[in-house]
Amino acid sequence: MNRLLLLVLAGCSYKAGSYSDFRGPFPGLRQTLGCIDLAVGRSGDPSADGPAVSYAFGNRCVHPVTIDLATIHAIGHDTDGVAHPMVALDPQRELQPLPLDALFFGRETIEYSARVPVNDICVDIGGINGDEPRTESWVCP
Amino acid sequence: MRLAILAVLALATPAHAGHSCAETSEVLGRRHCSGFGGWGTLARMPSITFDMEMFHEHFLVPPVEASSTGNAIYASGPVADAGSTAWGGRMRIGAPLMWRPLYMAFELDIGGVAAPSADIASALLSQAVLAVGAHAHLTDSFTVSAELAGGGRMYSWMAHAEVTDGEAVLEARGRLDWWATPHLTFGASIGTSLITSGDQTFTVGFGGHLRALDAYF
Repeated sequence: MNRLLLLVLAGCSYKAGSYSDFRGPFPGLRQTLGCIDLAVGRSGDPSADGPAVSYAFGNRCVHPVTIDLATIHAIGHDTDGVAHPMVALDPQRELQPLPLDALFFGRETIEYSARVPVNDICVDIGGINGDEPRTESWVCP
Repeated sequence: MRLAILAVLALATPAHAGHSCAETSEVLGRRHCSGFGGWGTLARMPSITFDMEMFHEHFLVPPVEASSTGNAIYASGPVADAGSTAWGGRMRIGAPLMWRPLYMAFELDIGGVAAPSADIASALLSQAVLAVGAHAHLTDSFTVSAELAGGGRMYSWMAHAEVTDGEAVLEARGRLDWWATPHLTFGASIGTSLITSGDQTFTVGFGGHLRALDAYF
């Protein structure tokens, strides 16, 4: 909360198409989904046991949008190339659609796990924009 | 200023928070200091505006009646036969009403009046008003507003003892605000009294907005 107010005081806001915030450029593959500029990258956070994906997003519009990270589908491929569904690590069941204010930004890193060891991870980000109909859109960071 | 605030932000990141909370991970479910969706907090806050302004008011007729001035034996300095001016600072807090684009704001003014009557050189002015208005975005960067402000004001000055006088305020205003950032505006307003013909007010100032663009869109 205090951090948010400091950001507002500092005049921090998101500029459409910049793919960056006060921390720097958004890491990963970039995509625009309606009002949302999204970058999806593989996180190197050592605390994660499984593959973790970083999502950095900015609202390029002058009205709030809904960011829905809970709808992301993830799959991983084993050494034989077989796809396995993966689930997000969310022990507190916090993942839910949330509004992102106009011209603002955010970041989240989510860890995924599968029943078997996987070599890579792909996520379907087509439902991240909660204000628009879901369209399948896979990226493999 | 901005760099200083960003420096504070950098030091305040959980990983450096030290005694308050030592964050060691950015991964959801492995973080200790923050939960999911801190970025969504702003959009769930009310749209509140804080303004700091300087005002200048011109009175066509000195606002304090001669009968209420007392003997004013301590008054000194230039005395105007007609007209006087006031200046000072204004604090204002506002929020949109349910029926957008209508909004409401509460204001407190503190300032001084030069020559508030024929035999007083100066007086303290304090004023509290409630303003109701409507605004519209001319572009993404400029907002125009029309508002009606009503309340009361008090003049006080020293004669043998402190003397006060008061009057009602009803003012029609026009405002123009420039959005320097989605949360910061610089603006000016002009107003005219609907009670005393010829009294006019001019303000300049800046405003902080909790929600981007006042959640107007």
